[in-house]
Amino acid sequence: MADVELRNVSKLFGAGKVVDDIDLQVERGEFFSLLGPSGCGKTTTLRMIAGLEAPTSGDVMIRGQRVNDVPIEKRATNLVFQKMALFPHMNVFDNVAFGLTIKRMPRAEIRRKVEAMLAVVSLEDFIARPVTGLSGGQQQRVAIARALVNEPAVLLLDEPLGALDLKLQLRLQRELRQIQKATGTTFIYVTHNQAEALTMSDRLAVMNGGRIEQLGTPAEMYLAPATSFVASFIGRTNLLEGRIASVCAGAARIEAGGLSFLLPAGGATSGERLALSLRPERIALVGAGQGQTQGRIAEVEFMGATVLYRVALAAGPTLLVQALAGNAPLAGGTSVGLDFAQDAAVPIRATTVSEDTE
Amino acid sequence: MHDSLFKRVALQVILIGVILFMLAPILIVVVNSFNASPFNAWPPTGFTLEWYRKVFANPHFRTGAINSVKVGLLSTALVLVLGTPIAYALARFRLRGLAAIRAILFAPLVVPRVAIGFSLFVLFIATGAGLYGTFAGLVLAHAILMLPFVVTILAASFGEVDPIVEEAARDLGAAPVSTFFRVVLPQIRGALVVSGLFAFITSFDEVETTIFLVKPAVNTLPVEMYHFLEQYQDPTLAALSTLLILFTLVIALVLPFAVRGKALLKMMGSERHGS
Amino acid sequence: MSGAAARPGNALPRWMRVSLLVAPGFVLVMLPFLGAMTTLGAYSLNINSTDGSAAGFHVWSRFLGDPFSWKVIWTSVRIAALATVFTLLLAYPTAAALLRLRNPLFTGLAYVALFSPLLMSVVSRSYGWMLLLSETGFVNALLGQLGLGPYRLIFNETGVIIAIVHVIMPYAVLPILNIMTQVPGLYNEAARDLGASGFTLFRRVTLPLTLPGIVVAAEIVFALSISAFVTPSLLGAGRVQTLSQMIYENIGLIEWAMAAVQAIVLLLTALAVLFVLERVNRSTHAAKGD
Repeated sequence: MADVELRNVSKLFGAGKVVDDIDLQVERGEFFSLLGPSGCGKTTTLRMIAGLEAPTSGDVMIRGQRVNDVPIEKRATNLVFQKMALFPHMNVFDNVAFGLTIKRMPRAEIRRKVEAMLAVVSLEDFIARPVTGLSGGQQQRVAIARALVNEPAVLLLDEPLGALDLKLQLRLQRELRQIQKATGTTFIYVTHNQAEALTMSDRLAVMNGGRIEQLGTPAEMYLAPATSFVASFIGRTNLLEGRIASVCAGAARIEAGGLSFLLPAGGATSGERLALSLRPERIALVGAGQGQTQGRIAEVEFMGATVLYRVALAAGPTLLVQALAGNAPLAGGTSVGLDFAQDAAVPIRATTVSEDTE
Repeated sequence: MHDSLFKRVALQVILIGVILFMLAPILIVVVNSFNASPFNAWPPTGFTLEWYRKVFANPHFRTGAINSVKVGLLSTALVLVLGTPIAYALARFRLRGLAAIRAILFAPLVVPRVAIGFSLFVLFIATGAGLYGTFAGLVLAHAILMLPFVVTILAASFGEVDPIVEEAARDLGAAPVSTFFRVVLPQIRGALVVSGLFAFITSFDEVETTIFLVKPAVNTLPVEMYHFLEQYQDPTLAALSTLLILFTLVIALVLPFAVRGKALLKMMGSERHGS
Repeated sequence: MSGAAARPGNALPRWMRVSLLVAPGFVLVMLPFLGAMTTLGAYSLNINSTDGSAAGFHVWSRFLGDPFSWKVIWTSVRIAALATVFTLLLAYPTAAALLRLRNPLFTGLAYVALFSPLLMSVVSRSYGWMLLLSETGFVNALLGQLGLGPYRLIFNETGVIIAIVHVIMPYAVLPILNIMTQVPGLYNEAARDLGASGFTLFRRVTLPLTLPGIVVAAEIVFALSISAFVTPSLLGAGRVQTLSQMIYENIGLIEWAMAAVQAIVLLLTALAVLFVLERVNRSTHAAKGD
């Protein structure tokens, strides 16, 4: 059964449609992410689930109940904010105990639950500290404990790691994932960080302009992006405009930017135009004169384990190529050959091609 | 700082001069309260506690002090209870009507207190509401004077409470009213103490509006002192003033325990936005 | 932010919630104030005449046609203006000196000395000045030691102005102090690096930057001075006639219509000066481009 379901949900602020007719189901125990650039409507979607905003049209369902008119404090959801939003006048214990105190739980039980929850986030020793003296990472763990201790049906997280430094982000990503596994709570996680969404989520939705571009597992998103937006937003890719040259025995020969691919036809007909996504790591650098096509290295971006080359093809377009760094990266200006499998590219049915291919 | 020596010395001389100027009338009052001369002769002719005895023997001062405390406590309570929701509304909501409310709220700041006193006097007479010469009338008058200050201090303080903290409390199951009392109000505790003390002291010292609204039975202490001073000038008033200085000093000493000095200065500074 | 936007389960619209918050204070405090102001206007038109004379502007014309009224208005304005100027002249360097104090103990003591008189009744303070300034008082005794005086410092404008300056000083220091701490770079010596000498620096940089604070201080202090009642009444002892004292006297004389006219004139005078100062404030803001 779905823990959270959105049916045709739209949200207008004035004349602007921030969320545009969204349908979504999040299953129980799932780690689900809403991923997209700022202004894509992901936070508003989360706030509608939490009860901080009312949808202009459509239904929000939590565990099968329509909650459109249920105020925030009566919903089985809890929020973790990017800005922590801890109560500055209370210590760690009182912050975490807040929700349980409101529910008038017996004191002994509150203490037991808070202590157990602080153990989960490894803050047992900080129970009596004022929250204002804690580090950013500790504060965010208090915020997570404060939400989770109420045993919500769904935990909503609004870019909870956005304010932390990179190293802490990576550590807390792993911790969050472990906490989610341990508690079995459904997580809905809002982020603009695609790497974060890919590593943490069971499933995710990529949002753009108030709409869901694609819904699926991280692998599906990466390997088979439904739109050029998804292809370019998740990871890096080369987007190519192509045309089906011929169809033969269920396989289509596609010409794109002077390159040629052989992909399953899947009902496509000869002459049809389409976009292709060719991931940089699917292209191999070979000696000049070898491989499918020839080019010259225009730019070198050293990334540690790998190197990202921008290779200007003799045939026209510039391709991103990712290769293992090895002993010595190639220098700019080197002539190289590029090799790739005939089925290395992925066809994208949607016609829009984003200018931004980073 | 590379101030010239002349500038440094000049500034220090002015500062010391102004401090002496500010302290002079207080010091003279304290010293004179022990002056044996009934004509305030300087230098003092001897030491006496006679004037303190006279203060306590004076029934007008006693009832005046009791009246002042009553009016002070009642008007402070009234202003805090009425001012807190207004301050919250001003800090949290952006509505067109609120600009008008703000204008009416701050209007008493630009109206001379004597004019407020007299206009309330004619209002009380004209409406026949029986408020002239009553505690209720005085409490209302003092509330009019203090509300703008209290609202300004509290609104500035509410403005520093992050609304997201309220969202968090709601999200954790607290209803709006409970959120306000458990999460918002505790965060402005300092401002409540400061504005409350400020309101009480203002009310306790008020003469210029009050004098238009009192009958002898409800005379407040400063009004009694004013009338006393119109007739007598012996050091009885010095003794009473010294006692009052001690009283306000005790109240003022509570302040640093309630808020830190910087917060206090900031809040006092924020008053100017209202005027 | 949408903090107060329509939320699920919010039974009341925004304007209604705001009204509920504001209504008690509005009805119990603000409305009586508006009522009092309206009644004041009505009384000035002799609407509640006690001697059977008709309503109209005749009390106004009686007041405005009397040269004595203009003398009193002029006295009130003169005292307030002089007190304001003296106060600002002292408050500005005082604030600057306060900010230069480095020893926290001295700083604390200076603040207490400057601001604690705020906590003291105006009556007590006026009494203190009566003791200091009287013919046999401390100041004349001190001057006598130097072979000077005795001077007449009380029951005239000098005494009234000195006592008013004392009452309003903290209100002037505070906004100036405030702006001096707010103006960024006031003490970072940037202008001096550009070659400005001490006084030029003050006139061209420091003063214009702190002018808004001075204007705010002037507004507060003038409004307080012109409406002062206790101080001129006690230190002037009837020899210094100001509008506020006339209003009080006219109550006893049952000249309520006249007192109402005077109260309105007092209010308008205060507003007129506030208006002028506010214009100055605007133009300095405009000159700075904000």
